[in-house]
Formats: sequence, structure tokens, C-alpha cells
Amino acid sequence: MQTVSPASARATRRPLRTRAGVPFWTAIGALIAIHSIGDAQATAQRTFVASNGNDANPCSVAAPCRSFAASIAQTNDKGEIVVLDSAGYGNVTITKSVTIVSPPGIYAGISVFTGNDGITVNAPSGVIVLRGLKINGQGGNVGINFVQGAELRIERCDIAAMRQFAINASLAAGASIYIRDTTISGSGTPVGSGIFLTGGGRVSLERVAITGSPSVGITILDGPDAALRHVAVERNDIGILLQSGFGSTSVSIDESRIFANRSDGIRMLTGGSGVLRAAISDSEIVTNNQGALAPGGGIVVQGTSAGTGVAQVTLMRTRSSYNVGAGLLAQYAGVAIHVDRCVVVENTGYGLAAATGATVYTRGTSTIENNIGGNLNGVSSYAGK
Amino acid sequence: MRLARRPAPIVVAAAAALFAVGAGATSPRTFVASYGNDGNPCSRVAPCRSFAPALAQTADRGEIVVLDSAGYGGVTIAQSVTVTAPAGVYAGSSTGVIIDATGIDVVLRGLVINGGGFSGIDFVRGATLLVERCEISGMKSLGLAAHSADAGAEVIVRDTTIEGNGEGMYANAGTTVVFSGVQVVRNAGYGLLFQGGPFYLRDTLVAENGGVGVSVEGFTTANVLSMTIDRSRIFANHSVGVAMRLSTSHSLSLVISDTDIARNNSTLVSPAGGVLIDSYPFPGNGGVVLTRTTIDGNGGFGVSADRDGYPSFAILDDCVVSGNQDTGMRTASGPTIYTRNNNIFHHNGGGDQSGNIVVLGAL
Repeated sequence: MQTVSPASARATRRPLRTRAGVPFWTAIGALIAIHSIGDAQATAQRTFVASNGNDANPCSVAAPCRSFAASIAQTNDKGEIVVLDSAGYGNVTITKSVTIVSPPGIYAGISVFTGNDGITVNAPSGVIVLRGLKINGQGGNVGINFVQGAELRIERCDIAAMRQFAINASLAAGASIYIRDTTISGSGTPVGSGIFLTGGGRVSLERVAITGSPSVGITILDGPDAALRHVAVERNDIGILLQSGFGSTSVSIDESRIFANRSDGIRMLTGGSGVLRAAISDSEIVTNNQGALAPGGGIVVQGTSAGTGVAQVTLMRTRSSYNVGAGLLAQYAGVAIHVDRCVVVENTGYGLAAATGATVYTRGTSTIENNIGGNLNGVSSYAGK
Repeated sequence: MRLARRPAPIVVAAAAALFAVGAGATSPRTFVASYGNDGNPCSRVAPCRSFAPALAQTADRGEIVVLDSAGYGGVTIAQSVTVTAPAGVYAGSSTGVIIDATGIDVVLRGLVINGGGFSGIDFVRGATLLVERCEISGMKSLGLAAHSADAGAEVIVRDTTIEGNGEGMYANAGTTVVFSGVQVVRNAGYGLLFQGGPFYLRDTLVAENGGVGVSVEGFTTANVLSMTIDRSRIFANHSVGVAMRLSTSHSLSLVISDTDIARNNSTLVSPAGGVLIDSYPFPGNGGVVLTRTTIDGNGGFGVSADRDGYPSFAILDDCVVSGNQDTGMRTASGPTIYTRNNNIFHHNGGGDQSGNIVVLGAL
């Protein structure tokens, strides 16, 4: 048991303020007050780390710890770890609900060496928030490894140079991962993915950049439902890989940029019992497939030659241009794609192509011009409703 | 750095002596710090340790500034004031903030309100409340309770997260709400429950709340309600994504543009998953306009206008309605849905459209 500094003891015993005239609230407040005093003897609702801290300290604001690992042991379930100044704070395994926050202007680093992961989340039903962390691979495998938990929120983090994944999540049904204002660079070397998401659960990405992965920028495999907005996926091998084999996956991509990836900008693969569904709107899919993979292009959606895959895709107000290969290629029965108000120009192959049983629908509202291999191949029409 | 800010005892003594000359006055700007003391004058060199004593020494329309990272406790605000934790400083509170005085204007910047208390920010009385760069999580009741008794109260929320509370936010009939860059996620009940308006939601994510994502509800009084949702995502809420419920004498208007309403109502707790306009038990007068919006993969109907809602209506323009578990768009018992034949419907389990659907000409 750690001694508690006067400052933190005062903080936890500060009288709770309740709204006058509502006795129920007062009763709740009294319960919390009792609970807080009890906590002060073991762990704290809020702990602190600093460059001048010491892991033998109580991790209070006046006597901070030096590392995340030491600090988390002294933090309440549902508590917070606060970074006070710029330094490296080491790997940590999280087994309870906790928030780690490094305020803007403070650098809180984790170097991940060979054989290690940066942050491991293994907290059944835990809610974990990571804010403002810089995770840098020095031979390490995974930046943030979400093994289990109810919810993981990653905000304002930068993750670079991880061997396998910058973020790896195997989501149970009902689990979620929210990633916002975060960059992922140079991870997935030589195989892996910048972000790798599988299992069930829900995924949200907003203002996230994934660049320079030698493998895949974002992989969503067999189950997760995802909503992506304001996402930049640039100079990876495959930009975004959506794959349904055994589990159904459903993805929205809005106002995003898929740019200059060496292979397909977006590759969707479906087969087996899973259904793959995607709605892409107001996005740019430009100059992909620089490695001239064939077949390949801006967007490639493939079922199986046996016709077992099902993919239902909508492409709205999106530009798929200047790609090597097709602007959009759909292959095999079970793949259906609706295109409306898109711009598909200057691809080296077809603009829109439906091959071997796939269906691509347009309704005369898109601009599909100057594609070197031809504008349309095997494309059907549909009526708006 | 942090230690260097700690003033030498002699400086503290000098500052306290100076303050003693002007005892009883309040300052336009007060300060709190981890190394502060609530017996101090809350000055820059002799800061206080928590918000409540600092507020007592802050002039009306003054500011409380957080100097370094720490927890600063709960506070009840009964005067106009700005509380600022600058970017780079963590300012925590587990009990939250109560705002309770007629006519006051309050600004809260950079606070982390996490768990323990009843409501994160409880706006009981006051004219305006601006919440910026705050985190409100784990509160037993509401993340943000906007039920100001002031007529015409306004709440502006920017770059803020409301997560894991009992309910995300409630706003009463008299309060205007403006959201920009807000996340309302995984609250146990409603994400947002609005009773009046107008409400403006932009660049907002409302996801995985246990109840309805965004609900505009007329209750017993005659209300004019309106809401716009722009460039937002209403994603995987357990009940309806966006619901508008009205009753007799209500007039509601809801405009949704460039928004993704997807995978709500997976548990089929409502007949409609994406957008529900419902008038019960008496007809109200309501309308929904959806433009450039994707309604995808919801449980139940994608869009439903239901029951005795005549003359309630919905207009779809340039939308995608796809992969919903039941009918993509349906009406029943009165209301009309208008389209301009420029929407994409596909793969809706119960068919694309049913009920009273009318095609509008271009204007």
C-alpha cells in the first residue's frame, strides 16, 4: 500500500457538490464520498507520470511515477493516468477500464522493441481511452494490441514503424474501437497492416491518416461494421482491404482520400457465407495501382469463380481517376455495384468494368470519360427511385 | 518545468501580503494549480487548488485559468465566468459542473469530467453555455443536461466527447443547441434527446448508444421543434438512428444532409432503424427532408413515416437507401414520402418502397 500525499488525499476528500433540493442526489453523493475515501487507501482515481517521476512514488500529482506500467497499478478501475511532461513512458498492459491522457503540447512516447507490443489491452468489459500518445516501433510487433475489452478509443495518437500492425483489434460482438485524429505510418513491414480489424463489433475512424505501409493500410476482415470519415490512405501497398469470408462486414467510407497506393486503392474480396457491403461517398480514389497489378485499379471487387461471394456496393459522388488499370472493376456473380454521380476519368484500363457475372449499374448521372481502355465494359443501367 | 513553476515560499508570503491589502475583492482572472492552496488568493503566483474557491474569488465575467495538470473538483457556477484549461493542460473533475443562475454566460474549455457524479454538466439556469474541448464520461445520469429555466437559453458544444454516461444529452423545449465536432458514443440510453430546438448538429458522431441515437420528441406542450443534421454519422445505435416523435399541436421540422445513418437498431427494438417519423396518439404536423444521405444496413425499415401523422411527410433527394433489414422506405396510416427519382435503392430486405410514395418534379 502506498502512502498518499496530502494533495491527492485532499482531492479525493473534497466535498462533493450536489444540487440542493434533490435528496436522492444527495444520497448518491454520500455514497460516492464514502467510496472515494476507501479508494484513497489503495488506488487513486487519477494518477500522474512525469519525466522527473519515480516508480516508487504514489503517482500523485506532487509525487508522480516514471512509467505507465507503474502508474496503472495505482489507478482505480475507470480512473485516469495523466502525463505531466514530455518523456518516454514505456510499454504497458491494460487489464481494466482506464484513460491515459497526454495533453496537446506534451510528448508521451512509447518505444516498442523487438518481440514486444506497445500497449496491450486485455480487459474484459473494459473501456480504455488512449489520448495523445506516440508509439514508435524499434523492431516491435504491434503498436496497440486490442486483445479484449468493450471499447477502445484512440485519439491524437501517432503510431509508426511497427512490424506487424500499428493497431490490431480482434473485436468480440458488441465491442467497439473508435480512432480519431490519429496517424499511422510505415507499419506492417513486410506483412501485416497499418490497422487490422477482425471479429465482430463496430469501428469508427475519423480524421485518420494511414501512410507508407508496405502491406495494407487498413484491413477489415470477417465481421466488423465500420464507418470511416475523413480518412487518408496513401502510399501503402493495398490502400483498404475489405474481406468477407465467414463473417459479414459492412463499411461506409465518406469524404476520404485513397491516393497513390502501389496496388488497388480499395480491394474487396468476398466468398463463403459472409456478405460484404460497402457505401462509398464523396471520396477520391486517385492514382492507385502504381505497381500495375493485373487485374487491378482504383476499386476492385471480387467474388469467387464459383459465385459464392456476395458484395453489395454503392459508389456516390466519388472520383476514381488516374488509376493504373480500371477505375472500378467488379468480378464474379454475386457482386453488385450501384454508381451514381461519380467522376471516372483517365484510368489506364476501363472506367467501369463488370466481368464474369458481376453487375455494375449506372443511371446516366456520372461522368465517365477518357479512360484509356474504354469507358464502360459490361455495365447495366438502373432507375433512380 | 513543473517544479520550476512552484513559487518560493517567500514569494507566496509576499503575494499573500499584497492580497491582504485588497481582501474581499474579486479578480478578473484567477488561477488554479496542482501546487495551489485553497487558502491562497488564487493569483498567478499564489494559485488555488480547486475550482470552487477560485470561483468565489473571480469577478463576474472573469476567468479561471488552469496552470497545470491535476484534478480540480466539482463546482457550482452562479455567475458569468470562463473556465479555461489551455491545450497542454489536463483539468479533471469527477463530480462535474452545475450552472445555476438566471442570465449568466458560462464558457468551459478543456475540462475532463470523468465518472462519479450525477450529470457531467448540469445547466439548470443560465443564458448561454459554451463547451469546448471537453470530455464527459462515465456519469451516472446525463453527460450534458441542458434544461435551463431561462427562456431562449443556448448551448454550444464543440470538439467534445460525451461517452459512456447514463444518457448522452438532454435539452429542454426552450434551449437552442449547436454541435460541431462532437462525439456522442456508447451512452447507456439516448444519445441525444431534444425536446424543443432549434438544434444544429454538424460534423458529429452519434454511435452505439443504447437507445435512440438522436431523438426529437414533442411531449405535452405545444412546441415548434426543428433540427438540422449535417455532415454527420449516426452509426450503430441500438435503437433508431434518428427519431422524430410528435403529437397533437406539434410542428416539427428535421433536415438531414450529407450524413451517414447506418447499422442502427440491430436489436429491432423499433419498427424503423434509420429514420423514424411518428405521430402518436394524435396527429402533429411534421416534415423530414433528407438530402445526400446514406441510410444503410439498419434493422427494420430504413425510413418510416408512421401512424396518425398526416400531414406529416418526408422528402428524399439524392440519397442511398440500401441493405436495410426490412423495407427501404415505407409509410403507413397517413403520411407521405416524396422522392425525385434520384435516389438509389438496393438490397432492402422487405423491398425498396411501400405505402404512400409520391414523385416530386424538379423545381
